[in-house]
Amino acid sequence: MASSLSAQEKSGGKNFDLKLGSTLVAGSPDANLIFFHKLVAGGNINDEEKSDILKGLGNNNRIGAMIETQLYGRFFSGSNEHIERKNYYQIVVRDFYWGEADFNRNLVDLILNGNKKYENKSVDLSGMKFKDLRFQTFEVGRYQRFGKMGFYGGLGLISGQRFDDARIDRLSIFTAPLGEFIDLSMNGNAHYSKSSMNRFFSFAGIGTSFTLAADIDIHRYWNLGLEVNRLGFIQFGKPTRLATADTTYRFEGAVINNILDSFVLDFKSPDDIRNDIVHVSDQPGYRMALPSGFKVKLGYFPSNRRLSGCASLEWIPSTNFRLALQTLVDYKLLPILKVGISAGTGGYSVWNAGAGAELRLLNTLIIRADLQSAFNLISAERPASWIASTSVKVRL
Amino acid sequence: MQKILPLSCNTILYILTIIFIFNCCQRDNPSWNIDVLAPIAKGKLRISDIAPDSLYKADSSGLAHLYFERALYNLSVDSFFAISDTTVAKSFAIDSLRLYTLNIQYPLTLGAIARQSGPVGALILALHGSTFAIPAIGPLSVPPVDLNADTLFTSMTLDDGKIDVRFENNLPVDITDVRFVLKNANNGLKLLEGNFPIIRANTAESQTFSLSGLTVESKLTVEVSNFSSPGSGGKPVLVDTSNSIIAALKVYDLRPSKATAVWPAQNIIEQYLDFNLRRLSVKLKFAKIKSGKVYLKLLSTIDDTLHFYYSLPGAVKNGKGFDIRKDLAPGTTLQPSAIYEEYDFSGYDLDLSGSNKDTFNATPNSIIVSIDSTGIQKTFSKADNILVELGFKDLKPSYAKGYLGMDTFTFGPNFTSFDFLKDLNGKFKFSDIQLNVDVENKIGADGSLIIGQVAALNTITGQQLSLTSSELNKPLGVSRASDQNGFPPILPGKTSLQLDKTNSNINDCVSILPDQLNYALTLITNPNGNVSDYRDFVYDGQLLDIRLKMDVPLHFSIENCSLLDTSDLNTSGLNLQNAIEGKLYLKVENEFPLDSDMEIKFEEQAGLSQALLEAAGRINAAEIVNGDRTTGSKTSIIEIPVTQDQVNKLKKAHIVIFKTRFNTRPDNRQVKIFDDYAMKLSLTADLKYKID
Repeated sequence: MASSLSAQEKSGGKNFDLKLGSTLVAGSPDANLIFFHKLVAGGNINDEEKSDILKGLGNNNRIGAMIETQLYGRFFSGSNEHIERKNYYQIVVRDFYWGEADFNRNLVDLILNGNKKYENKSVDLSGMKFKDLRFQTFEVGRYQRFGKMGFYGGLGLISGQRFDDARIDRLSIFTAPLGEFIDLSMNGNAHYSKSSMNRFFSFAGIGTSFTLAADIDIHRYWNLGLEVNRLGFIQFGKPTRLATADTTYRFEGAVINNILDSFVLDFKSPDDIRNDIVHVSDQPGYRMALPSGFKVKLGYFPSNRRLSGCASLEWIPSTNFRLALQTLVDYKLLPILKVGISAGTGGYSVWNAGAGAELRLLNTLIIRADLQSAFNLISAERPASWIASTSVKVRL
Repeated sequence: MQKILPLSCNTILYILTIIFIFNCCQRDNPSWNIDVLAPIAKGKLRISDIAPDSLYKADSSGLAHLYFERALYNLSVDSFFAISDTTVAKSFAIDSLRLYTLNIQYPLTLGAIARQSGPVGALILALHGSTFAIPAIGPLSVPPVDLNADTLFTSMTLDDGKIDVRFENNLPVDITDVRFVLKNANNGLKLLEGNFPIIRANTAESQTFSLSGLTVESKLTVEVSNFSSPGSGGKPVLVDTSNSIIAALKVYDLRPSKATAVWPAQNIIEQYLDFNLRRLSVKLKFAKIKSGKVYLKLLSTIDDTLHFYYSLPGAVKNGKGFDIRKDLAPGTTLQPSAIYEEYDFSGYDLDLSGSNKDTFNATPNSIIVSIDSTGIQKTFSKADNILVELGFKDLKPSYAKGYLGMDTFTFGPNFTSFDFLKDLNGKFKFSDIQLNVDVENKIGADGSLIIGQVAALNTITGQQLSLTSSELNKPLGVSRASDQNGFPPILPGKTSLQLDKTNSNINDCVSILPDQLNYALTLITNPNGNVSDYRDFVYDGQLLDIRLKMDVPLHFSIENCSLLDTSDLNTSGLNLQNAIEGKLYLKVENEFPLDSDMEIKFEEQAGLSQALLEAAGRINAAEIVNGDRTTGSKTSIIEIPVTQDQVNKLKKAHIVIFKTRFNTRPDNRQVKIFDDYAMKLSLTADLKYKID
C-alpha cells in the first residue's frame, strides 16, 4: 500500500495528494453466507436453511476479517511528469482491525439445533480459537526513485486499542438423559486487553511498525513491486487479563434444599457460571507480533491504452489468511470513468469475483469503489467472502 | 470484560456493520428454533427434611425416630416460699437521753459563820489560831447563797432526777439542826427542803431528794436557814476560822422532759435483736441472696446530728458483714431531718439461725444511734423523737437451706399440646412407641409423685383414648438431690416412669394421632417430714421438672395419609419467555417404601387464582425384598406437557402446592423408615425454544 500500482498519470503540476480509503477483506473458506445473510436480512431460519448452513462445515472451520482505513497526505517532489515516478514524503494515519476464528461444526450445530439431539451424548467443541487486534498507526515515510527503481521506507508509531487471543483446547458438553444435568469439560485460556481502554488512540498498547516497499519498471508499461506491511510488534501494557479454564462443571438447575420449604428457582447467572469456570488474573503485559503482510505486485499500465491491470500475490504468515492471488482489470470507458472487474483466490475465502469503478473529476477528485466479492454475495450457498475497498483522493 | 466466547461482541458488531454497508435492506431480527433439554431444578427430600431438627433423630441402626418432649410441670421456687418484705420500725423519744451529772459545792467557813453570830462570833474571830473551848452557838442562819450551773444547762424540766445534798462538817465542833432550802433563783421555786439533826465534827452527812416534776434552772439559791452547835463541850479546840462546812449538791439520773443543756456524747438507741423474716412458710437456716435490698428510713426532730450505725452480723459478703453508717442532720419538730436509702443486698450469705443458732428465719441485727457531745447548750424536749425504719425488700434467694416443709401440690386436670403429629391424617398404626415421664429433682427434698389420668385426644376426629397402665395412679418416689455442702454441682434425684407396649396401650393412643394430651398430677414434698434435720436445700432455677418424653420410631403402616404443603416459589430466575412448547419432566428416585400419589399445582396466589399449571402422577414405592430395608430406589417419571401459554404463565407462579397421598407398601405391613432414605427429584425441560 505504499507504492502505487496505478496507471501512469501525469502530475499536471500538482504535487500533493490527500486520500481517504478503506479496505475490507473478510470471509471464510468453510462457512457460507446463509447464516450471515439471515443475520442481516432477518427472518426465520428453517430446518432446511440450518442444514445448508451446516453444509460444508468440517471439524476445523475458519473465518477472518481485516479492515483498514487510512488517511494520508503525500508531498511529491522531482521533475518527472508522471506522478508515480516522483519522489514523495507521506504522513499516514491508519486504523487497522484484524480478527479471525477457528471453530468446528458442532458449535454451529449446537447453536442452530440445541442440545436435545445430544441427549445422553457428549458433543465435542474442542479446538476453537479466536484472535483479534485493533490499533492505529502514525506513519511517516519516504519514497525515493533511483532510475527505474523506487524504494519506500516508512516508520510508524502504533497506538494499540484492543486485543484478544483465546484458544479452547478442550470443550465438551454432555447432556444427561432427560436433561437431568449438563456437564461441561473445558480447558482453554484467553488473553485480552482491558475493556476500559478500548477506544481510538487510547495507547492501551504501544509499538512500532515498518513499511518497506520497492518497485521496478521491468518494461515500459510493466512494473513489479514488492511490499512488506506492518512489520513490527505491539506491547500492551498492564493490566491485561488472562482468563484460564481447566475444569469440569455440572449444571443441574436450581438446587432446592427442601421442597417442603419455600424455595427459589435461583439459577446461576451467566456471570456466576463463568466465574465458576474461568479464573481471571491480571497480567503485566502482552506482546503481539503484527500480522505482517508480504505482497508481490505486477502492474500493467499502458499510458495510451484504455486497458490496464494488475495482479498481486499476498501472504500473511501465522494467520488464517492463506496465500491470496488477486487480479484487477480496468477499462477506461470515458476519460473520467473507469470500470473494472476483479477476481481472486485464497485469503479468507476460496474465491472471489467482482467489479469496480473509478470516477475522475478534473484530475483533482478521484473516487474509486471496488466490490471484489460481488459475485460471492449473489451466491449465498458458496463460501463466504467479503472483499471491498473504497477511496476518495484529492490532488492539489 | 471477561470472555469465554471466541467471538467478542465488538468483533461481531464490526463485521455486521460492514455487512450492513453492503446489505442495507434489513427487516427484522433473525430467529430460529432449537430443541433444548435442560435441568430446571433438583432437590432431595429426606425424612429429616420433613421433621423439625428438634424432633428428629436417627438411632444407631439408622431407623428414624421422632422425639417429642413436653414439660408437664415445673415446680418453681415460688411454689415453696417467698421472702416477704419485712420491716422493723421504732420511734425513740428524748427520755432515752441522759444529761451530765451536775456537782456543785459551796464552802461555809467558820469565819463566815462567826461573822453572823454576834458576840460569840466576835469571840471566835478573836480567838482565831488559839486553842479555846468553844461555847454553844446558835441557832444561826446563813444568808442565801447563789449557785450558778449555767455552763451546763439553762433549765431542765425533769420527769425524773435525783439530787444528793451533802454537808461535810470540817469544823472542830458538831453542828446540829441543819435546815436547808434549794430554790430556783429567778422564780423562787423551792426545789427541796431538808434537815440534818446533827453532823458531827469532821464527818459528812448526805440526803437524796427526787427532782421529779420539777423545773430546775441553772441559777439556784441554797439557803441554810438554821443550824446550831453545842460547842466543844468545854474542851479546848484549835480555833481556825478557815475551817468550813462544805455543802455539796449532786444532780444525777436526770430524765428531762425538756432541757436546755450541754448534752454529753451518748448512744441514744442501742438495740441487739433478732430480725425475723415474717410470713415464711419454710424454716430456713441459711440463704444466699441473689437479689434484694435493705432500706433505711430515718426521721429526726432532734436539733443535733445523729450518727446511725446498723449491722447484720449474720450477713456476710466477701468476708465482710453488712453494716450501714449514716449521719442524720439536725432537725426540728416542724422540719424533721430525714434519710431514705436503699442498699444492694445481693450476694450476701445470710445466717438465719438467730443469735443463738437455735432458731430459723431469724438473723441477729443491732441498731445504734448516737450523738456527739453538743459542746453548747441545746434544747431537747420530750416531743423530739427519732424514727428508725429498717427493712428487707424484694429478697430473692439463690440458695436456701433449712426445712422446706411437707406440702401437696396438685396440678390438673390439664392438657398439653401434642402437635408434632398434627399434619398427619389417614390410618396409622405405630409400633414400639415408648413414653417416659421423667422427674428430675434438683431440690434437696424428697418427693412423691402420683400420675393420675392421662388421655390422648384428637380434636379433629373427636377420637379419645385413655392411657391405661398398672403404673399409673400410684406413688412414685422422687429422691432428693444432693450438692457439695452448699455449692454446685447438684446431683439431681431422678425418677422415671416408662410406658410401652408391654405395660400400656401407648401405641394405640398415639395411633389416633392425638393433638392434645390430658393429664393430672399430684406432688408431695417431704412426705416423711423433716428427716434431713433442716438440711433441705433449694437453688434458684434448679427445681423439679416433670417432663413427658415420647420416642416414636418410624415403624408403622400408613393408609391414605395426605400431606398438603404450600411453598412460596420464586421463578424470577427462570428464563423461559422464548419457549414455544414442550414437556417438563419430574423424575423421582424414591427410596422410601411408600407409594405417593402426587399432585402439583403452580398458582399465582394461593387460593385466589386458577392453577397456572397442574400435574399429577404416581411415585412408586421402593421395594422391600428381605429384611427391613428397601433395595435401592424406584424411579418414576411424571411427564407434564406444557404449551407456550403455560410456560409464560409459569413465570407468574408464586405458589407451588404439593398434595401427596402416602401408602406404605407392601399393603398391611409395617415398614421402617431409615434416615438415609431419600426421594431425589429433578425437574427438567424438553422445550422447543426460539432464538431471537
